[in-house]
Amino acid sequence: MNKERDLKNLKSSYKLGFSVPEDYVFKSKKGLDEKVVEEISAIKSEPLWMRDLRLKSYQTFRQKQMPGWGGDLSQINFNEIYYYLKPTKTEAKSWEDLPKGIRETYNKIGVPAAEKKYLAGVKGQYESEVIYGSLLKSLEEKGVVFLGMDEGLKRYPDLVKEYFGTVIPPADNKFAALNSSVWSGGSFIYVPKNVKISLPLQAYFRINAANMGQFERTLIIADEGSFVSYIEGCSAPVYSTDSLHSAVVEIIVKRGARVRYTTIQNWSTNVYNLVTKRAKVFGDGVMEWVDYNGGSRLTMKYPSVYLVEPGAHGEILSLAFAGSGQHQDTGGKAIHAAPNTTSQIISKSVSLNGGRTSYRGLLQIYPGAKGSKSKVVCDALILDPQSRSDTYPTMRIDESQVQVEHEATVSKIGEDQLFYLMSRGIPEAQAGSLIVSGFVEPIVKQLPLEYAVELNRLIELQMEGSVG
Amino acid sequence: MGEKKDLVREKLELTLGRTLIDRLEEGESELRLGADEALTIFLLPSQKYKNKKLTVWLEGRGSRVEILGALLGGGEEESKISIRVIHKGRETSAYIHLRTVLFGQSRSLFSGLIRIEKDAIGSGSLLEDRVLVLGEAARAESVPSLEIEANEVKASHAATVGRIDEEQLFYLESRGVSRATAVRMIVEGFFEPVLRRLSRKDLVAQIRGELWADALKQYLPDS
Repeated sequence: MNKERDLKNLKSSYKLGFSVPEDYVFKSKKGLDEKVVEEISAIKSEPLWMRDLRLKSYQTFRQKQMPGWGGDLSQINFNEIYYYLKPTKTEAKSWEDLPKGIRETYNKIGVPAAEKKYLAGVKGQYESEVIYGSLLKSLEEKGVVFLGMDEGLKRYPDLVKEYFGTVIPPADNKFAALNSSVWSGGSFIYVPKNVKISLPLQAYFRINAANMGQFERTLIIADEGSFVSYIEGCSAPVYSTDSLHSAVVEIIVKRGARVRYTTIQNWSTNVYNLVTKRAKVFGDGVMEWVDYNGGSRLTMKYPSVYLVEPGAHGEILSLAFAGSGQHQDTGGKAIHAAPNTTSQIISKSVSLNGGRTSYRGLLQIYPGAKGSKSKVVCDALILDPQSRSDTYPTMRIDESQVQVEHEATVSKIGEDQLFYLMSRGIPEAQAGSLIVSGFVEPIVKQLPLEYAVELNRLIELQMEGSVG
Repeated sequence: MGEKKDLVREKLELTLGRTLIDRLEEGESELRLGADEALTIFLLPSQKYKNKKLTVWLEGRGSRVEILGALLGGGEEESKISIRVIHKGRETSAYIHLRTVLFGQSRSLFSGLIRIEKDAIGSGSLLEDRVLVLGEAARAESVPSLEIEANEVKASHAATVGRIDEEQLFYLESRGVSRATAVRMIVEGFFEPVLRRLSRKDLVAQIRGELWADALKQYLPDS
């Protein structure tokens, strides 16, 4: 079959694993100390409060223990990492203004093409800095703000100061502290009251250098009654040494607003992806996380919703693929802190070729959150005897007037499904792919069409030769 | 097969295997099942249980365990139950189903782990934890984990925490049943799915008797 041959041609599988030569404005020395933190702050000419926050966070990072659960973090050597790489002097408004190597990188990934067709705005981050930005004029006129986080801090210092670190305090965990001390880049988004952005905003994060640490910081504020859909993608070259990506994403969903945050995580398999993502949702607001993790060596990420006012609703759709040498430790958290709040977590995972997926989740209902409802469903497929899947859910229910459900299933591909497809003349490998596609369908169909196509392609590549 | 001291008060031979009635004394129990051994363990509440750990190793090929529970908490009681089932042998199976009713300010902490190891090909495991909360200030925590290292298997768990369905109550009351009786009927019905798993009628009657006559009486007003 043609399609099969096409897939075979792509056998190198991770096609974004190329790199271009380094030609940077600034590269910090290897490793992390107070000097590096001060240097980053000085290069960015930041206000004093941010410099202090960074230094304080650095102390917190040093004091905090590594998490004693989740994946194997013992191979991370914090002294071998470059914490700050500034690739260009300024953020470009046009792709033509970017250095050739960077421009070609984004062309290969396909960001400029996508921008023309179906995006309302784009940010491109390369190493530590946002190097490209655009936003539809009509949105700018409505007061929508879509900036790199550094630019956001310069132009809206009061707004940033009011919200920065309020959803995820630096002391939340070791990696949130690390990010708070060396953060650079990421997106700053403000959507004014009742403004609904129909096309998605996108950010694309690229690591190019070896031993790179990328620490973007994103803050999204959706004012009352507004709507925004934000999509992030990422990739990196394949190196024999490891890179670290440790982002912090804070989202504020005000009364009646709705935010959808979609991640297509496609890091090369030498990247540690340790990310803290959390949304605070006010009255009748809606937060939706759509989280795909197919790349990286180890991902530890549990997008969270804190439902703090009545009627707030949170949804987490998590999809994970773990192949050879990969561990996807992912899931979600829903915290109900107000009456009549609702949440839903749906997790689907596939492990193959010795990969490991772990669902880790928390559902917490505080006293007084009467009438709250939550449903968690986790399904896992294990495709071969070398692979593994875990489910670690915690339900903490401190209020009696609630309804909480949790279900999880781990299984292999159904023999009868395979048999049926094969009896219709479909080769086993393809039948396996079909069944897996069907398994992940409920999450994939939540994506904009272009991404669903991209994701299906990524899944096909992951699945290649895995069944039969 | 090594049983530790406090697990068993009573052993009854059943046609399929044996049934242990465990009144949840404090402590840790470990059981190892050999080839084709089958065992049913029924957990019942006792006055003083606080912290109970039970581990079952399904070592022999074809070994089976069924762990059932009809549990109650009231007053300011806090109960902690941890159940682990480790599938080591081929074609082993486990069925765990706990039903807990919480009154007053009681608190229940349940952690369950099903682990299916690499060689336990063809095994199946199911865990269910159902909590019915009647006390306004009662609290429940449930952590049902799965660790699956083999692929020719099927494992699943389900957990729910909820209160009495107002519609059920309304229905019963509309038929002239007093509220207290209605609550009692619903609570009794809540335990039925685990009682029905036992094939011996005399055993079911005995457990029902214990539950209703002793334990439940404390919490549910006479109707």
